[in-house]
Amino acid sequence: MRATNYKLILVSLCAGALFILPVMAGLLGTWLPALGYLPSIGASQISVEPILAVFAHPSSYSSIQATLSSALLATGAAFVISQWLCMQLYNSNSWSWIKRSIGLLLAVPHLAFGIGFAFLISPSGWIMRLLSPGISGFNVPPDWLIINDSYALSLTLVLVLKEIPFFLLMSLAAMGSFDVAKTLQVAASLGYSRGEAWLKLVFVQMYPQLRLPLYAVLSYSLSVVDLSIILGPTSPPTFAVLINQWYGDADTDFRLLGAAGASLLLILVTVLLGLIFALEKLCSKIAQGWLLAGPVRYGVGYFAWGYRKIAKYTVIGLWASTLLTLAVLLLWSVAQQWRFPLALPSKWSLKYWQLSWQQLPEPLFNTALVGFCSATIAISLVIAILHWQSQSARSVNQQSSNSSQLLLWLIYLPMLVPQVSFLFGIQVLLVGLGLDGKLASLVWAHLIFVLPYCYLTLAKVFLQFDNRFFQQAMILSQSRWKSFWMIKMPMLFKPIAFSFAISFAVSVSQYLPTLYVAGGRFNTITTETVALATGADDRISASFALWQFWLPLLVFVTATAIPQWCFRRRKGL
Amino acid sequence: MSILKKKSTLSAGFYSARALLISLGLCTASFTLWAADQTATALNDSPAWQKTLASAKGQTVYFNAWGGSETINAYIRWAAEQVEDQYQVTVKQVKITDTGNVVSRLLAEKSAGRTSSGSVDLVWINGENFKSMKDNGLLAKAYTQQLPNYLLVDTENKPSTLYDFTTAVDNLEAPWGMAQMVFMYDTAHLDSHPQDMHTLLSTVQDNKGRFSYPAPPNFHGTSFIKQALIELIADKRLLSKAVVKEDFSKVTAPLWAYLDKLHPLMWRSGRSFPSSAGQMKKLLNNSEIFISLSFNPNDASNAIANDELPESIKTYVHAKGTLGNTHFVAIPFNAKAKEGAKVFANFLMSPAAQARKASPQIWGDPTVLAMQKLSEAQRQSFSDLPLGQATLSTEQLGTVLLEPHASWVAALEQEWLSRYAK
Amino acid sequence: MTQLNPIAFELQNLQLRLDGVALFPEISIQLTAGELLVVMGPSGCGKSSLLAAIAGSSPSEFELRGNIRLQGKQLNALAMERREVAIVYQDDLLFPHLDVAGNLLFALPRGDSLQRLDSVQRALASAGLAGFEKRDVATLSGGQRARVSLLRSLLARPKLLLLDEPFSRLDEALRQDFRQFVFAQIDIMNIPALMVSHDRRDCPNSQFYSLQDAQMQMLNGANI
Repeated sequence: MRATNYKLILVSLCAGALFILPVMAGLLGTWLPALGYLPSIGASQISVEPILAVFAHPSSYSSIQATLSSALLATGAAFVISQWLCMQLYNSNSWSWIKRSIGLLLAVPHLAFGIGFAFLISPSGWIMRLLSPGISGFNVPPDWLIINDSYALSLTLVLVLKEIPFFLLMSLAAMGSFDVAKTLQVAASLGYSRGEAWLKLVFVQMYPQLRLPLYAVLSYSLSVVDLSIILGPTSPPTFAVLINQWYGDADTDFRLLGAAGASLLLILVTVLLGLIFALEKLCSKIAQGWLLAGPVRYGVGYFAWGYRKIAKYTVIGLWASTLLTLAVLLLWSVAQQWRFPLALPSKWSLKYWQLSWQQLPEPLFNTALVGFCSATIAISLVIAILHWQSQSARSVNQQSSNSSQLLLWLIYLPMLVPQVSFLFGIQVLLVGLGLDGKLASLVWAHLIFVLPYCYLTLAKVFLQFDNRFFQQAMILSQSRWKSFWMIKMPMLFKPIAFSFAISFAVSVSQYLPTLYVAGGRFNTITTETVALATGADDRISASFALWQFWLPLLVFVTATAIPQWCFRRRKGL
Repeated sequence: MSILKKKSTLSAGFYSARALLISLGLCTASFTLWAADQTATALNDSPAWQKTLASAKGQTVYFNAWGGSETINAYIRWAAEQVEDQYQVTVKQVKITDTGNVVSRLLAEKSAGRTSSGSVDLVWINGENFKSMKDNGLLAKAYTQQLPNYLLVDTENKPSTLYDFTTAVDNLEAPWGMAQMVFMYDTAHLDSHPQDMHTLLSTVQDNKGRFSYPAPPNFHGTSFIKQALIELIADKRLLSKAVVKEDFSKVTAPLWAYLDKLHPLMWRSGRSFPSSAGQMKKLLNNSEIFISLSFNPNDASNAIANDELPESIKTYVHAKGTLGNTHFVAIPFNAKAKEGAKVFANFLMSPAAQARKASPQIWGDPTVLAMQKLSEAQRQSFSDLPLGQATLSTEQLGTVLLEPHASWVAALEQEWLSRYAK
Repeated sequence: MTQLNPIAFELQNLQLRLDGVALFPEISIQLTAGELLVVMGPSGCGKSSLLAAIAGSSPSEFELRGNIRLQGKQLNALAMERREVAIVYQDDLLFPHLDVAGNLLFALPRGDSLQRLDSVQRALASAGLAGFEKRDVATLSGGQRARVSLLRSLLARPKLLLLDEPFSRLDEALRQDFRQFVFAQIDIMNIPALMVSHDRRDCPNSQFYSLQDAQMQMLNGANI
């Protein structure tokens, strides 16, 4: 038993060597140019000039402002709405349906959703087409600033729509660790309204497990590039896109500016996460008195049937937006000509399907290959780590030894650090080692970002697995190996398959890592989709976005159907 | 049928000989041109080029080219199939969104000391990115003089094939196509088109919100600013020289005054800009805007044929001319398949490839070749090309304005950003 | 008693410590084959921890002193899967992804597949569960589950059976029924058994071992 602790430390060290060292090297490779050191363009003087140049750049200020406001708003709104939905809909008749279907929403990549959503809501989008000219009276699209607005509201909206399912899933996992129904019952018998009970008892218990997802979403929203290119403001763009533009500027001196901007973004993320952490502490201090002040008598609170209805419609709205997005992508992919204000295409054609068929095999194969490799490696690593963790646990309630806490943070780190802040350095590193443009490097780069999500989606269920089953199996079969493969793995097959599907979806959606690490050798469905989305042809970009949309969905449906089918005669699972 | 389709030197020689006879018969006057064709043939047969062809065999060329246009991607796929068949050179297009990223990667490779086996073999490039690669030593040695088809390029009448945005090309990149700024407008909504920047303003005044241009530093956006500056600046001679910092705000004042008036009338009141010329085309198709711009004179015809634009779209240029330039392909300093890249670059300049590219049904990108240097049959393949329904003839395209000195770009972009992208 | 029964299972001066504090006084127990000993004590005195220590499944921070010997073999340092000690809980812990036969087959040592199936069928028949091979374990009643669980443990041919309050989940009628079944099986298998219980009726001969006092007691309170 004691050996497993060493194993855990060993795994941590390996993880460190595999993931953390390169990320650190990547950061360093970004910080040096940020301080004016990039010999390949003849800059070898350490100075703060590049950082000052970022502040002096005319676009920086409003770009950071738009980035901050959209990220904070999106994260905050998605978090609050998701918690509100949980409170309203917990154990309602739609609850089990939500539980089962949430993964589907999660599997849809941000980018495909964003592209489709733009097709829906832009002034010449499908919704306006359906309303025109009959209802709206528009024969030409109105000149409304909906997409690419300078306040990044459309970007924020899509982020909110995409992050609610993520928070919901994380909340579901968090609710699994205590008896919510009983808690509510007890609270009700003490005279608490549901809303108050939820806030004071359920949410407070859930929050520690939602902290990390919250931080991850904030960091993601602050640094997202692909989605922001499609929906974000243009003049200036969000900060991460601006940094990416600087990296791509014809004038090589802008590389220094890009590196400085990337480093500033990292500082920004760190400071914000620190502030939120401090705010948390402050809130919990302030809330102490409120928590124990007793129930509000006759408080209508935040829960009423009317609210539940609104909550239901919100979930329906989430689904509707996803399905409409899918529908409009489908329509565009079979359109030959579709001009405003026609509700449907005027000429139809399967040409773009054929076209995408001819061009798809390679990117599709690459995407699937990298996705399967990184998801498989991630799931194997995570299972190994979790199994050791569960075997070395002091007891069921006390799973976190110091070494596994450290391991946790190491695993989660890449989720919290903005991608642009170290990918440039990673690129230099890989090129220096002659490892760029190799399949293994690409899988590894994806793995860095896949692993945290894999761990996040599996850890809870895996660690809650009743270890007595495993012990019983060992006693019965007298074989660790047999017990692991024939009992523990099959019993956890469902969550493992689910986690695999999410990991795959995360890999599919990687844009920047593929761009920086693949060296142009591996084009994926995502790089192709971004390339085409910046072009002029809606039809071909719709058909590529469609593939990006349903490849992870397909894997998700398959991955959840297989265990269902295997255990179709087993009620106990 | 083109000369280059034949693989054996013998038949290639035969065809060249026939081409030679024809050109002798028909163009007896231009001895120099005959000489050019002669040299091309000689180069084709030269041991050096044969050696290049031999070592190119079996190589894989990673061609980094903007991938936002399906039309262009399809053309590149065709060209790749041709060189695969004819020279056993495999070409793979790496679809990029921004040539600057390629420059970044090459920089990374240079800083890592990788002087061979680089990841990029050929890159589609011009202007600033070319200058940047040239200045940072990211280009392979001069090579276009070794390419047989380079001798057919119209360097005499197309100065931009020698000076890429005023940077001397020095045989470091092979001309691929010609570009000239044209405007596209929708006759369904506009009765007449503007003649210059001033009438553009009045047209937009009457059609508020129906014009825009991509935000600089986007290539098309910056080009529009340069076009406006050329039309509005008092002393045009200043533009051929480097920017004088002290005078910049004074001489560009008319430009900013103009844009200050134009922006509130533009699409989204000038608070948001399209991300690219590609997006502009979509907006034009959906009547979100009525006037758009392009660097491909055939763009509108091509898009109409492709149902990307309605038939009501027509092309126009400003009366006193519009900016023109050339786009190129360049080989990086550390390219792995240098020979293969040369073979592909040479193929892209071949009359057959150029004629196909110039066809409005295919791409509609104007050729870099000199008609006089071609054989009769080759010339025919160009003159047989239909003029797209929305394409202007060479005469209508009018004067090609030269790009301002390269130093203007950074200065204009900086000023634009600080005024309109704060 | 003229013939001395050989000692099959033995605890010598056994003590469990958590952070240096002993859970119960040093205990010494000897069991012969076929003998069942019931261990009783107030909750929290370490009854389950004792069984876990014998089975080898106790968490690493428990410090074990003394000896555990089974058939003359020292178990202390042996991994749980090598001890040949079966443990049955109040939760049946049937594997939900396997059917009844699957659960039993999992415990059977390798061998001829027909023979294995045959032993499964005979075991089920002996428990009044003939024909239950293909049933989903989730569809069994509480009493049936308990029997399958015990059968499963016994099919692994353990040398010691540990029972951790095996009857507490069952209702009164089932409890009596199952208790008889368990006692009969222990008899047939002829192995020593140690049971942790709260229920006085579980005690054979009205005797039990008090963990607190580290000695045998009569149900009427007398020390032995």
